[in-house]
Amino acid sequence: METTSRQFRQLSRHALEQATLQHSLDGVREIMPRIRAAALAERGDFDALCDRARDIRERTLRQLDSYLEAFERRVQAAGGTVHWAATGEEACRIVAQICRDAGAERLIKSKSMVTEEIELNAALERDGFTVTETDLGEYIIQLRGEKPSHILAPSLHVTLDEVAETFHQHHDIERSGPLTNATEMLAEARSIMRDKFLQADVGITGANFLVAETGAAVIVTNEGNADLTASLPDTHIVVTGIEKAVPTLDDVGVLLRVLARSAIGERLSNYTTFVHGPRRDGEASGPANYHVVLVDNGRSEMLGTEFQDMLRCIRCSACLNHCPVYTAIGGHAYGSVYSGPMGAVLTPAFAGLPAAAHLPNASTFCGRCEAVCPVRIPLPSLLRRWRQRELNARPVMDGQRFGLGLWRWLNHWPPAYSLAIRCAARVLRRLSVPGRGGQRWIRRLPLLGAAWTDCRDLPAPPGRTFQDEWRRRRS
Amino acid sequence: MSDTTTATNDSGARPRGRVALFVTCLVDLYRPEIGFAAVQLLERAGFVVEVPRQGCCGQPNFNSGDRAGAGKIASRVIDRFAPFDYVVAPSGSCAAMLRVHYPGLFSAGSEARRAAARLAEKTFELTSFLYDIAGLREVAAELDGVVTYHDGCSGLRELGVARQPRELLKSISGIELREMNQPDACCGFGGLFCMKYPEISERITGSKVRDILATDADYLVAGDLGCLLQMAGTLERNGHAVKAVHVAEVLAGMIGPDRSADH
Amino acid sequence: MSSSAAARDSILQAIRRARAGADAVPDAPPAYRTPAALLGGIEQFCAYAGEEAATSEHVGRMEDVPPAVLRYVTGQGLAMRVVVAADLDLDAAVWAAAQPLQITGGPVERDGDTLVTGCYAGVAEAGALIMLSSSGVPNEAKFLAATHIAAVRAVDILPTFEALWTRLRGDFTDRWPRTMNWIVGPSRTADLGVPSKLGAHGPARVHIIIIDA
Repeated sequence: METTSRQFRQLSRHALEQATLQHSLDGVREIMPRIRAAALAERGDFDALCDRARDIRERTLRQLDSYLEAFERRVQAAGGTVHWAATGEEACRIVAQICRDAGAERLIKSKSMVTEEIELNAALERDGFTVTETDLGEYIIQLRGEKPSHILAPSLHVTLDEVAETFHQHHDIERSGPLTNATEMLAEARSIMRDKFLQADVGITGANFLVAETGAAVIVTNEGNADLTASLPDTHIVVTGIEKAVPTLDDVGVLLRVLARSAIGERLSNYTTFVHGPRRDGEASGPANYHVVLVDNGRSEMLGTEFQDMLRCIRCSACLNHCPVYTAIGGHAYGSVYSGPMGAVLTPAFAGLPAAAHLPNASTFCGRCEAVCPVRIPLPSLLRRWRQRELNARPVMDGQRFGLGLWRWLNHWPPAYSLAIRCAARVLRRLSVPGRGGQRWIRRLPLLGAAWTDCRDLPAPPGRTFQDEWRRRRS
Repeated sequence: MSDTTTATNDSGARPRGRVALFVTCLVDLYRPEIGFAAVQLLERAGFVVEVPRQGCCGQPNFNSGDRAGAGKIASRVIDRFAPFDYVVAPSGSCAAMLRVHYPGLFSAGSEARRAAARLAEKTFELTSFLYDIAGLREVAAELDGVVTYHDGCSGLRELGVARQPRELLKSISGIELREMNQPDACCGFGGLFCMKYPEISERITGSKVRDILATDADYLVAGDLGCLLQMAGTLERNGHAVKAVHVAEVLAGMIGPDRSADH
Repeated sequence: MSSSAAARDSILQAIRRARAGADAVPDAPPAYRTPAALLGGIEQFCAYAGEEAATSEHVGRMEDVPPAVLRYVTGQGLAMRVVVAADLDLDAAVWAAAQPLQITGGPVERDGDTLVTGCYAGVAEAGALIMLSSSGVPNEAKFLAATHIAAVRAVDILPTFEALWTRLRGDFTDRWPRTMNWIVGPSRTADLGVPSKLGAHGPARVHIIIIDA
């Protein structure tokens, strides 16, 4: 997986300077926790549902092979074809081959994070196909040549004015005229998209779940674009990760209950579709060809490791919406299609730790992600494990390793610790200046301390430590 | 213990147990008054308080991925604090380190793990100790003003500290507790995070400060000095008069117009 | 061996390697049971669908559907031409009585068409209409129409997903319907700001006619 995560610092600084992005992120920070909480409040059993959801995902991962095989048998029995791809490139090749075999030129897609991960569009375009994203947000960023900045709301960073501008650049301006509001933009997108849907040769969707019991690919959207993508073209290709399997319909019911509530504060998304295979004899419509491409791309390597829990993820985005870091810098700063806490765990696994070392480090460990995760992924613990690997990979004389070693040593030698703290207390007191109400403040610190005082003042310590003062008072 | 000093129980009644105060390195260095406030509250609740010689809980090492270093620091803390009935810290984050994370630093089935688990069981954040263990429901303090309470992340989500500080604060005569928007949202401190990614940290604190100011409170109260330093420093830098104080200082009656928080 | 077959083997082997030596997987618990306090019926179904911007009304019998469609179409100021799916078990004569509605068997072609369908079931806990692909209704019609009027029998409104699974397993022991679509209110998008805009690709209006008898 290609990332720009190495540039995390520059990308996040850039994001912090974008006023319109900051405004959108403020909206996420304010609105999403509120609507999620409201949706949960109605279900007194939400905690029990999350426990169930976690257990279902855990149980599935531990028997993933048999559920995938069962799913495959079902799809084959219904007349569909299942393909397996060990890597992203393999998956892209398989999809391209299916499209060529179908004699296709025009492809439509509904939003899928796996296809973003494997960069399917770029591969298909290189092979000469025309690909149109049909989720409105995904379509907007496709026109703009951008990556998703949120796993559910890919165009979160794009303002309405920019949408209008983008449509003007890419659509027939004479026909559409100036677009001034969301309703007009929607009408414009709808009419453009209608033609794309009706003319497409192949429809590509992702899947939220693969049901071993029935062979269904379950696809969830709010726009209904996946349904059109899956129904109108003569060929339907589902591209999804191997970890999406679930054993039974009962399991899907539990997962659907927690998914939409966690994602958008709704009981259920507007459209939930179960696809079992190609058109049958006597049916009025539907694709003649049905393919499912199961993508591994690093997932099976996570099984059995300390990162296995991450494979429980159902891509609800609650961890992004509740993350102080995500809502400060947005998705692009992560340099990966997966952002927020889930992205900070997944990206090092998919792209390698050296490329993504910043991501697990850029967390306050506030734990809100874990608290809102509907499948109870211990995200901070997983991030901490990446930090451990990252630290151990650093050279012995690395500054951070040295600092931590020194701290450990000080804490093992109480006299040294006391001396160090005493010195710090006095030096900091010296550096302070008087402020309001008799309080003293440090306005500027040198060296490492500048990282604090560049952004904020530091209250001055009184100069004598608690332990010294305690012993003085009590002796 | 040669380096342990003991306070007498000034309530006169039979002591309810020996509490070791885990004062935390930030309180030790930056605001000793919080430590004295905690001692006062614990003694008034009938406990004998002792202060074993101590340093850090090891959280900077643990959260930076230095498990081995954290384990070494933890062993030291466990040895020093094992003899007491309870360990109480005026910090949700340090208490959570001892209570939630220490056992996992040692291999399963080892004696060290068992010792860590025994310590974990008797370690508490200050307000939850006062409320849940000591059964305290009101404190003898006065504060004429509006306070807003920020939930420290570890205390809230790892220890379930939310109701206890609020109930105790509400028992103070003259006080008005006014909730801010998303009191459970991170303040941007995050330990070393605020030094490693200062601009992101600043942005997070900016949102927090906006929520604090919207309450029009006189005092910002929290149970973790790390969060308080972060928020106080940002409030001061931006010229806001809200005073950031530790819940222990408020509950001990050390905060008020005539009582400076700085000594 | 094709590359896909090789990948299949390598993926399955990797999964099995990871599993090796792990504890036995516990049996799945019995199906989830929604607490009684959360169980609802038709009222909940209508309320929840309503919160997702669907409208609903009750009629007594199947024969009352055409007049209800006429009322709705007139009330909304929609074209009198409606596409009626074959899954509605109604004689042409009954439709003919609902003048001046013009009935066609489809397909839904124009952006602006009104589609009338039956429904396999409704699920109260989500306000969801459950529709199955069938020979009578082109599946895409439900997503191309501008207005979707769905008639559902009151007896088919089930309280929970679990009740739906039970019914599906009874009706389709082994050969599952090709597609099953759950629909909660109109098509919408949140990609053009808050609040969501209706009619992203599919219907901007969903009206539910509940047949009580």
